[in-house]
Amino acid sequence: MRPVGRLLSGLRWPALLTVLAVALSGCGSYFTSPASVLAPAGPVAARQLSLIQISLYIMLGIFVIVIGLWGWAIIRYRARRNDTREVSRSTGDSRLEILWTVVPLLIVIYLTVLTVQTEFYLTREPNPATSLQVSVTGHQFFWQFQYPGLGISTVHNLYIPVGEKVNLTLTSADVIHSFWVPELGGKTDAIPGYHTYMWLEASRAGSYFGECAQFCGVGHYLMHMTVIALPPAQFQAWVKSMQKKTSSSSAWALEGTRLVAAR
Amino acid sequence: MAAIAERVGAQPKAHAQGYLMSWLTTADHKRIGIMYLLASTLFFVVGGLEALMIRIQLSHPGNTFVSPTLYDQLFTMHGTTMIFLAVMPLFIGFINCIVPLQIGARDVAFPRMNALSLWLFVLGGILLNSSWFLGGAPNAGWFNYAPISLTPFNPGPGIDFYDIGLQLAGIGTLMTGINFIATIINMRAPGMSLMRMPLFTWTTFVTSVLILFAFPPFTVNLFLLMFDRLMGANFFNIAKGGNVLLWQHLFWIFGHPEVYILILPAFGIISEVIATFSRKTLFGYDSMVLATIAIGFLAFTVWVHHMFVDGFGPYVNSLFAITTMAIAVPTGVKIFNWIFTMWGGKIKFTTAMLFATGFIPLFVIGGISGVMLAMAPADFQYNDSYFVVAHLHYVLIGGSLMGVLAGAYYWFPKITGRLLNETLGKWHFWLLMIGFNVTFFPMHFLGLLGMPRRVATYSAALGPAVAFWNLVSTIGAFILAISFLFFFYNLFKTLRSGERAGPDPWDGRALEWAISSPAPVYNFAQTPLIRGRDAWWVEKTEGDGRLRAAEAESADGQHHGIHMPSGSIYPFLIALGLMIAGYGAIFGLLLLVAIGLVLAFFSIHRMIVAEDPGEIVEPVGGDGE
Repeated sequence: MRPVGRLLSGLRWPALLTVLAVALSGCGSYFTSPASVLAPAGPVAARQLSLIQISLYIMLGIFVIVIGLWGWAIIRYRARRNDTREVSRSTGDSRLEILWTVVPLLIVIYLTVLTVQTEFYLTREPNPATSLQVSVTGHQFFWQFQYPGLGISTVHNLYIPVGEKVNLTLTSADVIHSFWVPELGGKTDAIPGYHTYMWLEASRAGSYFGECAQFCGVGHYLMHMTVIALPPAQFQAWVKSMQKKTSSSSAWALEGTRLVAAR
Repeated sequence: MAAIAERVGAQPKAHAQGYLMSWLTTADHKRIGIMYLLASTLFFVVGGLEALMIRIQLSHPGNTFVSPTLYDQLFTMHGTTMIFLAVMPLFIGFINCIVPLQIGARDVAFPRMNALSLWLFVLGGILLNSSWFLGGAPNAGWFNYAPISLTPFNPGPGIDFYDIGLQLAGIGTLMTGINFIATIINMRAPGMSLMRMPLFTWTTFVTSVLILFAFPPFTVNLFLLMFDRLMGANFFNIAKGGNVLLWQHLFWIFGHPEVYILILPAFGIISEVIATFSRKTLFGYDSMVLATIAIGFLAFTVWVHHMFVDGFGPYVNSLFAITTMAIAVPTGVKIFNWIFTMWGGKIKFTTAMLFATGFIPLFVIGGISGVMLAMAPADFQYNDSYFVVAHLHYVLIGGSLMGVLAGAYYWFPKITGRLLNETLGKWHFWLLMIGFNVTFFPMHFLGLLGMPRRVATYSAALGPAVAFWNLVSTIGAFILAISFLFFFYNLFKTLRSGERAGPDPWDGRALEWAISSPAPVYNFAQTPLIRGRDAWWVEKTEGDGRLRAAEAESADGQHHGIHMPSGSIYPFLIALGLMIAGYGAIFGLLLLVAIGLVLAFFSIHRMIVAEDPGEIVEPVGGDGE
């Protein structure tokens, strides 16, 4: 221990702390992206992130204990020159074995409770009367969004109102896709022959990077989308303008409808 | 009986045959094991080169090193090759070489079926890889989900190569499972009770049971897909009432036990190596055995955790989250038992021991991320992202492959008679540790930063962090590849001029160390009597350092030769016939199918009805000298 103690007192702490602070401040940019699970923008993603964080901290605690024991064993009990130690004749210790069966079991039970709570929260369907309904259809290689109550259909861009739960019903026109907007919430697969379900909510206005997460063919890597969350008033304005465009039946709109139908 | 006795008195056939023919016809579990190890090492190199091409492609955003079409084939073949043709058969190689020795047996229960397993694996693997030159490799992932694997989305022959190639290799694996269940139940030497078996034999037994129950659903799946693709059936075609999730369920009912088929033998190897080099008996043997069995059972109860985002609802997801997390408990028991096996020991850090001790932190990281992935609502975020890629490589490389390498350095002298070079081994270990962590740890970040799996490239719009960690990962992959150059050079150098090992270079504990290296063709001159756990250690410390024979020499005082199974070319011909039929099916050539099946069934018939006199071998010297 003495050399370690000398090292600790001998270090120039202020200098070290400065270096550390600089490294940490620079650190941020290595852990950001426009599609980050770590930067939730709605209650679903926030709930998922908190589950990730709690489990990560518990797991880090376990890691430190296990690796501490492991490190102690390989350092303390390595064979040395002229090592005259007697090798332990221990073949087991039921108290220890019970300890490291029961403690992990309790941890797992705790994580299970959190898991089940979150699972039911995320799958509880919001009131359809007060929430926006959107049908999502995956195609090779684009996303189509239909607003059945509003008579609107879009491709690539999903417009949603801020602060409102949005019910998504997903299916696919061809192969399996997976709908993923990391900052708003986790994935749900769009499966041909099935209707799957999820809900999302954006807490603040902005556009969110979305993508297909299930391998769906040669264009899988290009199958992006953007979720555009607008303040409610702006969203209503967008709905009106879209309804006007749809009813105008322009040549472009007809061509678009035909192309989508042909998929 | 007399007629047989006369015949077996003749010269052993192997001596009369050419060198190549003796390998093609062998039924010796040790030679079969060596061929398993050789073939799967070659497939491992192929899978590794595919991985390097993947990492080059992903080194920076928007890269065009390979086309998306080729990229999809690369990641599909990388996964398929590593799982079915590299890691699993590497373990089967060690199982073949070592398990009969550990239980004091002459050979496996069904030596020729063992040869058939080998040839089905080798020829199935060759068939699968020949797709690169015959119209394109499979491109729907190793998981090959319907409907992207169906003809409308995938008209080329690639998926058919996947289907037929894995059918062949899969039948071989299934027979290996049956063979080792029978071998371990029936062929243990007297005194080798179940609870005296070395841990590697135990994990082999549980692995074999997993194979027995896991491979049939996969085989069924492959047949259904074959019917859909080649014969116009509609099992997965929703337009005709099929169901695409049928494939996923059957695949993961196989696929999750498969993960344990890939890790349990590693657990066995780690147990052997840590006990040997700590110079202690395994800590908590009973709980190790129970934990192995518990993991085996739970393996079949967790498959839906691969399908958490399929929208099955909260009840199903919760149930499978609970069963999945439960696996952490027996796995944790094992980790603690390994650490406490080292506790109080005198640890000697040979290369084998370095790999075994290095296994622990890497596997713990993989286990930790496994528990995190089991939490279904969190998995909605991790699923199909690079977080999963990180997790699975910590388990498959940090777990399985570290086990394979610990086993390689540990048993190489037993298999070849020569010791691998320790200096080169240590280079291999340290470069691998650095390269592996640099490659795969950043993938946790990539997943959390929103990078999905199986993307042929990614947009610079995902930001500099994603580009940065991808570059780091690619650099790591090259360090990892360089570490294996040390390993392959070591193999080459050792086989040419390595130090001779002697029977027991590590002061080992299990029975394989009681006989010469390499083991003689008959294994033990006389069937040994097992007098305790760590059978050979017991004889060294409490006996006179020699194995005791289970039976005294026969009453007439004469020494009799050892009756060994004779070789046969028919296992190879059966596999060849099925391979030919497979090519016929892929290309719709019915004549070729007929020729192949005729060859296969003729060979099966010959193998069954032909008289097999076996061979008599004279032992040289006794055991344990």
